[in-house]
Amino acid sequence: MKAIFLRTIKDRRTMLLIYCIGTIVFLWMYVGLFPSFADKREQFNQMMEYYPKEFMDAFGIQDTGSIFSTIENFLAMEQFNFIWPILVIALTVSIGGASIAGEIEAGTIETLLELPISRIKIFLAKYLAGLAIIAFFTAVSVFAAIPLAAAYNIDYQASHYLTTFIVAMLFAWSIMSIAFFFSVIFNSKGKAYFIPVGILIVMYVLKIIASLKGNLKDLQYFSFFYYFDANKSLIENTIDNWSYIVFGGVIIVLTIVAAIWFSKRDIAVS
Amino acid sequence: MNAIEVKNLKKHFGKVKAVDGISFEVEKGEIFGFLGPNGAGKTTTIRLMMDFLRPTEGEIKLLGKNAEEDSVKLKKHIGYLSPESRLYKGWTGKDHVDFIKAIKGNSHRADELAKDLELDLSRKVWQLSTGNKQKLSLVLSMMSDPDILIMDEPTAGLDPILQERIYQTLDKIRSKGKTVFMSSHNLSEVEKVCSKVAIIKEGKLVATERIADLKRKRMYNLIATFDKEFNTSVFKADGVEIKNEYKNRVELVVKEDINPVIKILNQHKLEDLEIRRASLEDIFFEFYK
Repeated sequence: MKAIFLRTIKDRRTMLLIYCIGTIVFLWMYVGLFPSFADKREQFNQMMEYYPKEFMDAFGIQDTGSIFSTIENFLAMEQFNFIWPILVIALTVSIGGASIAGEIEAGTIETLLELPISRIKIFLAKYLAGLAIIAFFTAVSVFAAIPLAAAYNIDYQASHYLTTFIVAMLFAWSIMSIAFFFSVIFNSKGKAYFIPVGILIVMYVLKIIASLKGNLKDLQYFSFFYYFDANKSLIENTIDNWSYIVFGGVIIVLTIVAAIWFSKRDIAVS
Repeated sequence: MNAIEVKNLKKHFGKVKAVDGISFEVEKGEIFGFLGPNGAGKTTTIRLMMDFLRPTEGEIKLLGKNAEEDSVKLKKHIGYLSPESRLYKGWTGKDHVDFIKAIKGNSHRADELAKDLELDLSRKVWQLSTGNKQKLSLVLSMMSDPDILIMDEPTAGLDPILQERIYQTLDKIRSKGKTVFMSSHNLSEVEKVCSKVAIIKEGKLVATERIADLKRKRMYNLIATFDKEFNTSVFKADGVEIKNEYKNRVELVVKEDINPVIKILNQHKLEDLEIRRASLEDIFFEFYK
């Protein structure tokens, strides 16, 4: 199991490095820009007041006056409510899809299945390697903000980043569990990528609709983007209990079902 | 104890009966050929033996253990070669060897086998030719000195020189008392290396024969040209089939004993006579068509 775990990490290290550099570049850009925005806070606030309220709600901006008040407010809006989810979805879905469906598509799953190791252990080794990769990426993409802020002499709240790491990790882990679930069902990584991404797009749309239409507000509860609330974690330093319940539930249920499915299913490469 | 025992094995994919109630046994130290046309159920049977697929019905025992329940224990003693190389493109041969060594443990023969097959383990898989990929797959399947080697079309797509090298390698394995189960659709290959053969067609086992017994099933292709018009009805008998008949010429397939036909021919004036002993391939298709 250790050999599969280590080999999976080794095979994904270049991709992980690229994603880490990408997220650091975005963070650096936003942290570097923040002092300029903060200096002209009044003008920006005035400008943002002209945006429709529904538009601001759709992007999770409730208090336009506070956007440029702290680096946490700024990063919550620019990085963690927009760029970071895109990066983490791309990373986790590609890891999940490639882990099982990708191996079946390439035929290399036979190289694993012919070895004296149970299917559950193969699944766990792949799953834990995926988890380690997304944990590393999430840690880098959240905690890198601290030294960057320090380098630009910007005040920051270190504990808020830890809270954000926890909820970001739960969000990424849930997506990975969905990706693994579809990866064990399908024989091609295309399908294993497409369906989780489709589900997440639907969830994103549901959140937007819920924020635009008051009578459809309850739709937000069907969206991961409601439970991953960077405003709460990074600005208020809190995580909603429902975030633990929903993400935890998705992780536990889908991981167990995926592991059982993989150990029971027929695997025939073409 | 037999190395492989398959009892009433069935694998159905919906309405498709890929394997439909086959049974056979393979003795220890035997090279067993599993012969049949494409789509006959050879690969499905092998995947069931390897526990990649689960049977709809029936049982497979390898080294006396259930292939599904004791899969993990068994795979320490089994080497597997897939029909096409299932290798990681970005890994070198050595990466593959080290990876298998780390999981299988008792894998000490890789370097010796690579040397025998003249394979450079330091090259990445995407840099290797089809033949070299197959050599690497062969090294990986045999490096742990398995008690049973299961090979699915081991020489498919390879040039004759490499095919010959694989036959030599299999011969070495046989001399060590190991068991080899190999599928093929090439009868002359099976004839060359196997001691016993099972023939599968449309998911059902048509026959299980020793190669020597199969060879004993003699068959002749005979073309006789007479000096005048000839009534071929004299040849109508058991074991004689009239393939083609013309005014003064007849083409026959004679199974087993050719003497009664020769006696008849002796009583007539011939212009020409051609008798050719049928190949094992012809015999196979004649007896199991």
